[in-house]
Amino acid sequence: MRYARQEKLIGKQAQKELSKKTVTIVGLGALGTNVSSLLARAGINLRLIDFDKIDLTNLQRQSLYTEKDINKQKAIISKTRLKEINSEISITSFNEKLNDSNLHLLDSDLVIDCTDNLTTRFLINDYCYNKIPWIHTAAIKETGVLFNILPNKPCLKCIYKKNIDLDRCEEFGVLNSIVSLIASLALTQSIKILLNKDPEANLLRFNIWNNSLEKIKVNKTCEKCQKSL
Amino acid sequence: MPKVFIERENKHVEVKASSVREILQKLKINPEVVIISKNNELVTEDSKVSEKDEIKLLSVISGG
Repeated sequence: MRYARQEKLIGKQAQKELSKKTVTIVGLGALGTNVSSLLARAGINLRLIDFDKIDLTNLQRQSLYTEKDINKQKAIISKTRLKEINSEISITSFNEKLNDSNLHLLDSDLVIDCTDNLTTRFLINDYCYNKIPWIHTAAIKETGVLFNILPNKPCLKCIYKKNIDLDRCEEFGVLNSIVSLIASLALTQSIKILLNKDPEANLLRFNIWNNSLEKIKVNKTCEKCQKSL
Repeated sequence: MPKVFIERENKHVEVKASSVREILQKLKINPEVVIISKNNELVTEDSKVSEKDEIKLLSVISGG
């Protein structure tokens, strides 16, 4: 009954398949809370990774948290809230910062990058390379991006050559609507990847202020991907 | 001349150049701080450009 509306679209068998899948969310900030809520509601098991605490400035866009959660650990509160949303799925949370020594936490059917820095993204890229599909997401100001990184397809280093972090939300701000939109795109792509139903191949870039969507083709240009050509 | 959109400045300019590298040099933009699309395809600095090309210098988005 719970998934009746979704099953109308994807079918009962596909819903059964989704119930056996586990997605790892790295980062439980704006993107992470929005996308994990959608995944939980869609009936997909979750692994949650974040080391940070909830701050008052998070509440504008981090949808799982309330005022009473300030100063509490994001990983713990997220798990509690998501269990309230869907008690039927498996949720494991890790109050840890992803680093070289705990990358095994990514072992799952799909990883969604909801972090706020390229250092962690490159860690995910290297660990998942040609092994675990993952979705790169990011948002700032009124713009968001999404790129599916699948085995034997272009990787993150085919987009970003170096580890540079220029624009941060603390400095430039972010609309909660762009976060919500990118999370919705990520949930849709998750279902497509998990069910092997033709996920998006292009880099998506959406400006929610201008309502402009760009689909940008990415080629295998990094040294590692070029070797596989 | 190729049309160039600089996202960070929300500005369109025309730059007389034969390569992406030359465009970046003329606009004094560090290639490490942008991703470059040519006619909606990501390219490197080495990419050649012609009059009809539409170049976008897009900001690296980091927030999550």
